[in-house]
Amino acid sequence: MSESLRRALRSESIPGEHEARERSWELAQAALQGREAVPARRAGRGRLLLVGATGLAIVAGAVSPPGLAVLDSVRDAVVGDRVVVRRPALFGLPAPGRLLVNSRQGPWIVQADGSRRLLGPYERASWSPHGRYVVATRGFELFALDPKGKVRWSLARPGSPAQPRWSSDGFRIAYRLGARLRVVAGDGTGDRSLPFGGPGDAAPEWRPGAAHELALVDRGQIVLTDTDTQEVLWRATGVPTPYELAWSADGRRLLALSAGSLSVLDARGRRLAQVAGDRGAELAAFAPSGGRLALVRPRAGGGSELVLTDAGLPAAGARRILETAARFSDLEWSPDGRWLLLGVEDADQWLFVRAAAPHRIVTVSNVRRQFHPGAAGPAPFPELAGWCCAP
Amino acid sequence: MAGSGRDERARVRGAQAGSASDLEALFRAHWGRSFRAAYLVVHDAAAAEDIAQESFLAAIRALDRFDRRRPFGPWLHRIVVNRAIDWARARALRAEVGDGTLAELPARPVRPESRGDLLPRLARLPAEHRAVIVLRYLLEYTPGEIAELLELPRGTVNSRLRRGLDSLRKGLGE
Repeated sequence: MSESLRRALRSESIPGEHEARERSWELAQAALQGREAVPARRAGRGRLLLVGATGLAIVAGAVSPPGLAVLDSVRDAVVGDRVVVRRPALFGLPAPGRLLVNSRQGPWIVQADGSRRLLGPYERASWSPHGRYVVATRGFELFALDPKGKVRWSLARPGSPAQPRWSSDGFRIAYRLGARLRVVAGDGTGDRSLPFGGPGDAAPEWRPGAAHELALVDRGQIVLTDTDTQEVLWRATGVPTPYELAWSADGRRLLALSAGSLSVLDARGRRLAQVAGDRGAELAAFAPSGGRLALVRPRAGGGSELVLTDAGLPAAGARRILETAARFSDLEWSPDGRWLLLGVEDADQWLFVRAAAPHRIVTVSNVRRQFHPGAAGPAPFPELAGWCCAP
Repeated sequence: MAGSGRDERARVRGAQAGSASDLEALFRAHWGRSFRAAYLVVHDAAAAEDIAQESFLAAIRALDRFDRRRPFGPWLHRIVVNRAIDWARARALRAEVGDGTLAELPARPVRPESRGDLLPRLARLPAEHRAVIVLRYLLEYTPGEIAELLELPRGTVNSRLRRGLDSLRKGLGE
């Protein structure tokens, strides 16, 4: 018994052991360096402050002059239970999965080991549900690509296809063509128009777990429709016109971000919560497991703050994780729900923030240059288009 | 486990002075076992990574206060196993009160159980029993050393070991 137990304990295969070891080693190295740096830094410039009572890491004094990195002057450091690791380039992702990044040169796929592949000269791209394909737009055309950039099919339309979104079962793609919404099958056939639309910013969003239910903005109102029957399942009233919609992973909640307010609806279109005014949000993302919601809110005096809250009640129990004098421009969860990725356009940085305490922060600098190699002039800050499931 | 005691003391001394290579030697020698021990107590790879990682970071932060005459491994393992027990207790408590968020987490794949498979049986033991079994049969501590690590009476350790092994045997029909 004792020997068989020993063998079983030693031979048990643990998923992701190697990757976990390398992630931990990276943090351990940073911790060793930070252990030496902390006393001098605490007494000195104090750019990274720790408010122990609230568990809030405040990154201050960041963006003057414009373009100065938020954390660039803070070398790898440990403050309290937090580790800040500074990276001059994207050497890898802190969690499994792949990033899709839209740049002026085209969409890139970033693997967990940091390797990047430019898919080609497309304008915007988004993932298929399991990351097996990417749907992208260029000029008059819509393209389905594999992750190596090979075109599986394309569809030309008189207009500029935009905001393509793949349904969770993979059988439909919704996209905007001018002011109208259209749906095409996942193999590029059966393209047709939906009787909804109108000018607006919000991309249509498929409801996870439902066959072909699509949330969209029609004449300023949020509508849920079955795209196969074109039946309107509900139309939400009293919700300000949103510029962004997002479903929770379980399809039970729909978040609508509007100028100055944030609303959470249930799957029947009933409003569960609305937060307006200063407590509204600029960016929001449901955690992949559905129970939490990450919000980026404007910070008093400028800049942004990152908070985590309950998915159904964004006003209640909000916990601030991080605030900076710079504004966050993008927000994505890692597929395992353990990390958040924030874009900081003013600082040309990405911040990887571990969602659970202690909130580790990994900063990646020179983001523009990495997604515009060889660019002669100034390049725009790339946009995050999803941190997808592992292949 | 981590080379000779003298080598390890030299590595701790080097790490205290800021040597990355000495820290790496300590990390490579101890992290794997720490991670495995945490995993076998909590049965959750992500939580085990957090526990092993945070324990190692806690050890690094406390290096200045560490008595170099003592072995590094038991010091680290004490932190790891206690944190793993705390985590497992907290999760059990949340499950008992029906935490909504927890219920929404996707179910983890369950290993198929066979007569020769002890680990699903181990997972059903209380966290405190799992911990002493892991300390005894994975990390090879004696019951006396386990009592010292967990600050428990030796009789309690022996009793948890015996009950844990009995449960595993019963499960296998021995």
